[in-house]
Amino acid sequence: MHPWSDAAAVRFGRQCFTEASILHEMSSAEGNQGERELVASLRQGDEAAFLALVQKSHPSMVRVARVFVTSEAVAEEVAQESWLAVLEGIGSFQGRSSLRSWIFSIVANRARTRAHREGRSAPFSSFKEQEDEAAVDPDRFNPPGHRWEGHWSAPPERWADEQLLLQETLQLTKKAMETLPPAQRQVIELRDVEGCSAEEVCEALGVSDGNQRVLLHRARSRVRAILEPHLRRTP
Amino acid sequence: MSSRVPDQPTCREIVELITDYLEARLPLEARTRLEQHLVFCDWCRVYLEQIRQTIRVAGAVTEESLSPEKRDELVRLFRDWKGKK
Amino acid sequence: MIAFKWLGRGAIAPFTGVRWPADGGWVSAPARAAEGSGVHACRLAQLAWWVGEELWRVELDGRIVERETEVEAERGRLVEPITAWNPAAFAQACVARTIAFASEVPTPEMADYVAMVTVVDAPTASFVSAVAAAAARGTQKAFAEERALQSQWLARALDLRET
Repeated sequence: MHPWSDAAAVRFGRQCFTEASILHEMSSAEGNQGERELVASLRQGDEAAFLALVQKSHPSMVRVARVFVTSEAVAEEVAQESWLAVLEGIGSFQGRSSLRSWIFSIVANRARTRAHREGRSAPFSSFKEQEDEAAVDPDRFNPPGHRWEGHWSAPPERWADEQLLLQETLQLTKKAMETLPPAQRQVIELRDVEGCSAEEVCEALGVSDGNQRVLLHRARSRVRAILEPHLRRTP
Repeated sequence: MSSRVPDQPTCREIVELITDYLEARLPLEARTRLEQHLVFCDWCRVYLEQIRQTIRVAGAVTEESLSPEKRDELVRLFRDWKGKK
Repeated sequence: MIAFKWLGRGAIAPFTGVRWPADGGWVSAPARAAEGSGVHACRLAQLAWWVGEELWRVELDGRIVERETEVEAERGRLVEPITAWNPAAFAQACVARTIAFASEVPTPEMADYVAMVTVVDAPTASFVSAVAAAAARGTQKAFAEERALQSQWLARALDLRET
């Protein structure tokens, strides 16, 4: 489920509990040690180490590439090319970023270049994000002039946790993410699907923290809105 | 005339702050006001929980595992690279 | 420092989900915690801002920062539950205040607040009656002042002291 980080639980904790920010730091410190060893093994041509890394990461890399390019097959090619770039670059990898974000940035760059060559999408720098995108349809709140202006007029209804775990919901979530504008999709894939930290996403995509957070906000808001009509039925 | 009290956020404002809140990037004052709102607003508490649930479902979207054929291709790639080093 | 803490059922912190130990064990902020990540509690004058299901007397320790509507400490522990806490009585007091404001200032707006405050739970009644106070007085600061008065009411009704 989360090949990179040890702990879906740590991520969950990070999202919900302020105390867990310390857990995230701790797991990163342990992760750094593991990463140094992995990098050393790869440099020495350790096939088993490479294989372990590939098993964990290749599908994620294809997923990340897929955000930029036109087909699964092209995403697969990009991911393969990226492995070669990883191997060729591992000798000079200095560990200033995490291995994971370095690899994702290689994938993102290659995918972007490939997409651009195929005329599919504009360069990353020309994000055409709308100036304003409301997290929730303004009609869901009382309008100006209303006594309770700004409060919910059509409030959200509790979702049952059991419904979240259904295949149907997972498929819907996957499809929802495919409808996102590319920049938003890239961020939510890396942050919430892959479990990357904000810092890692900024490094991988070359965006500022603030930018990354706006995109994440919009992406999560859109996905929630898509899920809502399907999950509203309370059992 | 609305009930609006200037430094008390409305629900509409709360939903825009939710990501910054979860990322622990809200300034302290804004965070306090948001939490004070959640004290009485069940609806915004539901919304916050929905965002957390959205994050959880996104995290559960599984990757396909690596096929043996792909794995072998990548091993070949590795051995080629190693051979040329 | 002795202070007070509103918790969810089962002594669960409402925003972090942390369960405070029933045996009075210390809850600590993580080391190197960012500002705002410590243990939060109320002084008596701040009670009304955080009304919840359970009210506890707590002891705070370590570095303590006092702010306008809360205090933050490096660690805290439960001392005892305030079993006299009666949300319905508090809500009723808020209703009475709102009705009083509406009779001072008999506008449609105030009538709306009376209608609302009578059908909501304690935390919401606290909010609505503070909104009504601000509307009746015509000043923003009356909102916070009403919260302070509500806090005094709670302290008296529950016979709470800060030693």
